Amino acid sequence: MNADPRARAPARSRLPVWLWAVPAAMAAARTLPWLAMQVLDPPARSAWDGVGYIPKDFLQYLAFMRQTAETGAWLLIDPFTLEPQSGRFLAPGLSALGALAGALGAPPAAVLELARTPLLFAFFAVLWWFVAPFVRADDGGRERALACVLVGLSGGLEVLVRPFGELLPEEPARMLAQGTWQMNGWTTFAAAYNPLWIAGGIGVMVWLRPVLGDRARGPLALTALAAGGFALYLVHPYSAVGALAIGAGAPLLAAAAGAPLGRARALRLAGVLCGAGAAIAALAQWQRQDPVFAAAAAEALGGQQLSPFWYPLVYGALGVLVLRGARRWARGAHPLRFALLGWVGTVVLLHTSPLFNGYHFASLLHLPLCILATPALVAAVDRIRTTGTAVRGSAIALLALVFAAPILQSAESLATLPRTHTIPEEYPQIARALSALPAGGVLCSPRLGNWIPAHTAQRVYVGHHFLTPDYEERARAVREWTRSPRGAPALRRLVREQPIDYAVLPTRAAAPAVAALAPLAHAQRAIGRFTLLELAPREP
Amino acid sequence: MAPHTGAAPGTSTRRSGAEVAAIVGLACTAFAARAMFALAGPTTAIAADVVQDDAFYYLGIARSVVAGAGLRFDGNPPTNAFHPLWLGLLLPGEWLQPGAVWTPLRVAMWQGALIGALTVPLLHALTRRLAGRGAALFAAATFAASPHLATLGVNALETGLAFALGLALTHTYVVRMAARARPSLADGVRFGALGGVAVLARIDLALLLGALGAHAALRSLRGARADVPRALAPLAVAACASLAVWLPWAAVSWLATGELVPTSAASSREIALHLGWSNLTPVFGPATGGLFDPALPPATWFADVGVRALFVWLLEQPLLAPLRFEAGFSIWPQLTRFAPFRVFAWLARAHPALAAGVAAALVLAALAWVARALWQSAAPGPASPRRPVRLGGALGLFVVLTFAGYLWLSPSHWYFTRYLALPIWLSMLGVLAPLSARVAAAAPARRAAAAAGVILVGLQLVLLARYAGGDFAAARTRPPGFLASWRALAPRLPTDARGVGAFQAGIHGWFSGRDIVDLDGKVNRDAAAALRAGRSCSYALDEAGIDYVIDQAWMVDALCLSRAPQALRQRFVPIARERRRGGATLYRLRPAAGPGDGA
Repeated sequence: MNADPRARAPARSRLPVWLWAVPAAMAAARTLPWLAMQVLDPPARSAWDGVGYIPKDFLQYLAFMRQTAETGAWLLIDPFTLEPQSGRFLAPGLSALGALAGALGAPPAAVLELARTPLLFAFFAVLWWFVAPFVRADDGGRERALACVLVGLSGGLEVLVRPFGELLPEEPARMLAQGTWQMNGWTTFAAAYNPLWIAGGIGVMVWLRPVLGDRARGPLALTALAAGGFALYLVHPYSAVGALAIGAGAPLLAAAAGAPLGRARALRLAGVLCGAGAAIAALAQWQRQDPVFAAAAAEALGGQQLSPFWYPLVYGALGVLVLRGARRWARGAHPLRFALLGWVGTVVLLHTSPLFNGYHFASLLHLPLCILATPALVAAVDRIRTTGTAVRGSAIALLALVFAAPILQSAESLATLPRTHTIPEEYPQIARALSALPAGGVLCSPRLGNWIPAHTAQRVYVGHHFLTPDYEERARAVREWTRSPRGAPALRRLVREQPIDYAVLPTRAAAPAVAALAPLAHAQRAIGRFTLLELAPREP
Repeated sequence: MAPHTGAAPGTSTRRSGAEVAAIVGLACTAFAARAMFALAGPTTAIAADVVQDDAFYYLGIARSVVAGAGLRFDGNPPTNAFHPLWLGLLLPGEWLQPGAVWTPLRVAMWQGALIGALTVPLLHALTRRLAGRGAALFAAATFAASPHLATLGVNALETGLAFALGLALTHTYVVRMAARARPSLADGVRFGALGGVAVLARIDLALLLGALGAHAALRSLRGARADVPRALAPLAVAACASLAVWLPWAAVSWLATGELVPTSAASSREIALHLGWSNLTPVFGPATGGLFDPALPPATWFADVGVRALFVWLLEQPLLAPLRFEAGFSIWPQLTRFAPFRVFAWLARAHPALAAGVAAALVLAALAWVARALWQSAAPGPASPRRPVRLGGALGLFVVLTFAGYLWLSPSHWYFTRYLALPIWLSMLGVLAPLSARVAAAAPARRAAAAAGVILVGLQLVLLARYAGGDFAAARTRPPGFLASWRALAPRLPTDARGVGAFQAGIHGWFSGRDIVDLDGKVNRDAAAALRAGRSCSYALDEAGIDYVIDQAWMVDALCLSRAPQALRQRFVPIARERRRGGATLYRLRPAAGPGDGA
């Protein structure tokens, strides 16, 4: 008989009603910035950008959602460039939300933000199912529920440390800010800012549980698993890559650690991975035939990684629970203990990868860490109930540190709103003006270029850090050519050569450009501090 | 039919997972329906009249409180013309961003949306207790989809809060008092304390408290036999608890204004009498409408106000939704598109005596029904916590008291949609309970009732969608009411204007960033006294310290100019007009040239 109580068959217990408070609280807290924008007046002469987090990414999501909402298309074009393209971007999650927004007549930004809530509830329903084999089955679901609470609400204390970055020299301060940025998704709560990550997390759990437990055996089940990996890729590619890597890496690392793998299991796993990988490769190959997609896809490779050096900050007291829990796991004989350690090892390798922008995979680490930490959390809770004042106090303090992150991160998100989420007050007016014009190409600043496709059917010359090919070069050129009279010839050449139909430029800061383009325009109007030029049609 | 409004026998107190999920889903739906209006932005909400001028009285007073200037709106003496619980909820919005133009309003609207979501479980619990599980789901779903309550929920006024507390009070009464053969003193304290809170949320909930108290008293007396004092003790404790909760505010109000209850009710009555038949479809009154002497209001005017109250009550009654399909939903109810009203109006025009007789017979029948229901429901019953609760009589009494109160004390008929929200819904519960009891016995009847419920909820959804996509959507491109007037006329206001007044001063005061003196007396006791004395014009000209008046021309005319002597009228010099929304006019007030020119 197996000695580890967590190794027994999971009970068919229902998720307790009180546990729904966790996704509800997470949803409420993560929606706060967007709600604040609905409520608070923006600073003078500015407007809110209307997206909850990371404007450059969320505005891109909105651009894709708006395309589906307005055109019904699920094969999308990249609106952040003017190159001819055949529409091979595929984001079914965003397209579904866009279709919903279109059907309801609701603003895509509201649908994107509010989608987080049902997704979080779904995440918890799946999480309850997912953690069952890892937790005690004989305690009425207590350990299982605490594992879910830990996944939903635990985190570190990096928010308290980040302000001290100002005391550091510039480069270390930047590294501290980037490494501990909550949007890296070090924890589930932090990652819940992004509805796509939540959807990806659901997919990862659904896909990994049969893989880690070696539950799928027949041809039909293995085919479904391979198809599931491909479907997950469609929903959120990075989650799929992470899941496939964990699926392969966890058993391999476990085998390397001495756990039996078995030839049959290795073959099954290889089949699933090859099937899913082949489907993904085929899709990617078809997509890459479009040069715009190929250029954007190349951006997936890069050296942006996250170091384990930040663990003490981003996991904080949770790290203590993880270490204590890992000790208990090591003492036990749970059949999934090697898989769990392999999962952690694989994700550490992924998020430190200097080859393919490892930062995308940090969000996959928190879940196995929480599973590891759960026995220690149970012990801490027991100490609160049963022991003396001093021990009880220290246990309460430990738990307060473990669960402080959502409050700290929410407060940080709110506090940074005026700095990170304001746009010139004219942007919405510009979007309205451009919406009334026939679809075409727009020359504008990179920042405005990030905004326009999210709110209009216009495409822009430069606007997104990886969806605009040669983004840095184009952004620099636009900046230089519009600010200096010497850029006028280059600017006119650009307008002649590119399918640019409109230019929206700051009237004063880009006065040389406005003067240079005015002769080419058949209409010109002032929108606050900006000038909108409607350029005359080009000669064929 | 017996006024049975008891708990559905056999209804389990435990909620299944599916039921909890349904409640959560409906709460989310209610929130979404309200959020839809909040998301459209405050300008659209003002243009659509979802947010009306009165909301800005609240916001202005909240701003004054946060700024440390006390309970004032326009710098004039303190006012108590608000419901303190809602004012308290508005303070965080002002604290959040002091001086911001839109933030407090947006906070108020989102608070309303949240309160709407929280009302769903309350309504469900109350209806489940009175009429069973199916009726509870129907009521909650209807509430979630109702355009009437969704728009009232985000009107930045106390309506949604008062609605929720009215339900909570009724539920507490049912659970703590009515369902128990001998309620304890602790039960009395809970019921009474919540009653006090409810009265702080909206003072007319004192009528609900009174109706429930009357029911409790009757029950206690009929069940007590000999030990009357002991039977009445929980009720006495409840009354004390209510007073204990309410009295601190009453003391503040007394010290600040010398009044215990909001003075705005008396002002509303005066305004209504001064406006005459304006915005009121005459049924028994003269077809041409018009004004009358406010000191001698004609009986036909009260009859028309009563008819309006009755038909607004019918129009917004969810159970009668099929009858209103043609009328649709609008913020200002279009009774002339409501078939039952059209029939009655035709009858009143063709045979006024017959119509009056029918109306009187209906009123008498309703009173008799309420009296009988009260008496029957107060019959002593077996001592069981699950014994059926018959509340139809008490709810009916509340409706009767509300009608009588509004007809006489505050006949502001243009607000009846708002004022009657709770009576409409409580009366619906009073009907649902016996209906549920009747259909519970037979499966075909249950299926028919379920189908009817689905259809009625569907109708509410259709009404909501039609309103959101129709009238409300059109408001996005409409000038935003008084705000548009202000924006159009403010540039014409000389920069050296000493003071500005308005008969509806909420929006003008808020967006001007200065004190705009309220001239209709809602939040200005001096102006209220002047209106009662029929000297609003002279108050504006010589006492209010203003030299300009900005308002809708018909409003200025009805409340002031139409009854002022020629010499005073001539001192209102129109200098600018804005005709897009109701003909707002900016008047310069000419100083008195001599003794004959003054008041």
